[in-house]
Amino acid sequence: MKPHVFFEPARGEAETGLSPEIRHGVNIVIVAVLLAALFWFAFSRLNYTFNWASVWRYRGNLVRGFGMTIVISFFALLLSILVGTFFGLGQRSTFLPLRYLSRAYVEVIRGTPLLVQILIFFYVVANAFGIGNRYTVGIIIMSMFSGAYVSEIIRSGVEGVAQSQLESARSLGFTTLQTYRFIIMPQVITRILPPLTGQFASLIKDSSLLSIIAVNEFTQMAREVNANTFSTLESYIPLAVGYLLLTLPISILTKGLERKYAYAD
Amino acid sequence: MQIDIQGLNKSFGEHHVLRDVSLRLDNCHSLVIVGPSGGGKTTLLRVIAGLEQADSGRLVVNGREIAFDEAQLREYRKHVGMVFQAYNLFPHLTALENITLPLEKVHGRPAAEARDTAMALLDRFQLADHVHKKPAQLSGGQKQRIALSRAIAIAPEFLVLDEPTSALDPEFTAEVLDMIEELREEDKHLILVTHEMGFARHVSDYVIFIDDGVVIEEGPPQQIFDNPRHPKVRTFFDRVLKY
Repeated sequence: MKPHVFFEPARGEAETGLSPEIRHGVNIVIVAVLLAALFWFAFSRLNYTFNWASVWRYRGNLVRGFGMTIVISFFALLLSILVGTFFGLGQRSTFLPLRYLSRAYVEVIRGTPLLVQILIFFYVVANAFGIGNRYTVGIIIMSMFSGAYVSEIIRSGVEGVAQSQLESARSLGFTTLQTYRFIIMPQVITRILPPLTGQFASLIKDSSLLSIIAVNEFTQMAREVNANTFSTLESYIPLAVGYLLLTLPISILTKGLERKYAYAD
Repeated sequence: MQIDIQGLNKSFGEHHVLRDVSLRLDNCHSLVIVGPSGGGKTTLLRVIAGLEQADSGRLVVNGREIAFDEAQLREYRKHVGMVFQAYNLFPHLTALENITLPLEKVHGRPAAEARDTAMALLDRFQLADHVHKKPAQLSGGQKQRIALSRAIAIAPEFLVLDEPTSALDPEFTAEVLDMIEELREEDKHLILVTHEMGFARHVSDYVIFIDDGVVIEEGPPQQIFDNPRHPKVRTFFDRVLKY
């Protein structure tokens, strides 16, 4: 027989009499203690003296970088929704040049590393079009990058609306535009909300790569603090904590939205 | 209703689904299309409903020639009440909204009027308790009756029903057939594809039997069901009515 504390009853198995809260609580504590012990061990072997004071002097820079990351990710998300909607619907267009342009966009962006895209965009495209502001460039790059993923989210959201409903709308005399507006989009929005919030979390983390073109976002600021203080861990640990502070609430929100909209058709 | 079909052809790729179908009905209230699966009856129904463009041939409905052109077909579909096999209600809308949306957006009725029309129908068909429910909260029979209400709300010239009970659990079939019969009795015109042979016989005043894209027999229900002349029709009924 399985130890009751560690296992959730499988489908069809009888309840063990142990309340689920206690079972989950005990296991969360055990995992937390194990992780703490692991980190404690690793750090104790490091023989490293922490010098938080030097990094504390640069806290303003870290906070500004944190804010910049939020700003860049937020505007990139808004723009990527526009870009993603255009190319997502473009992939379904009966106008073939648009369809193949959309496919090419999605495949190229998803098939190449973000780092390479940033470098090419910054040194070639932005240069050619005379876009000088690094923040503007950063937001454009991130929204083009994220737009490819958003367009796939939107495409699958639209394709998830059953064919039978499109047929129904057609039989009732709705125009294509009305069908999108009243039938497809309201359903797509609720469907794509969970993956879209997840995409926002990715965007926040991925924007850290903008540090290579010296955009003063969170990671770049941590790198600068490190360069000034030589306190590597003290610079990067707050970075990890800062990203988690942003992504954890989003992750919880995503789970909540998934539950909320998990209705059957 | 009056239907005049001449030399209708329709292919899907290599598959020739309708072959030179012709049909002339002058004063028909209820047309039932029967025949084996894959024989072309649903395609013929969809052409009549304006959902499918024929490759060649003519379709004249109630004295109007229907051109096979999407813009004109959409205009035509506004006057046809279509009900599908799998109810096809919009899952994000309530029962009421499923009926009012086309009334408001397609037919330009004011919201209050659309609401009154919808409420009157839902009330009449004992669906008043479910007005604000979404399709996921309704039984198959209720969904199909709402779909029927939606189809008649627009005051169509006739109703087109594509196997309206074949996706239902048997317990819900009767309530849907009852409703169709009630509509038939108040002289709504119907075109119906069904596998419910007893009901087909009961409700129709003209029957066509389609197999392999060709109308192989047509006539009043007594003739088709009791004295089919074509051997294929006879074998079909023998098989269908066996149990």
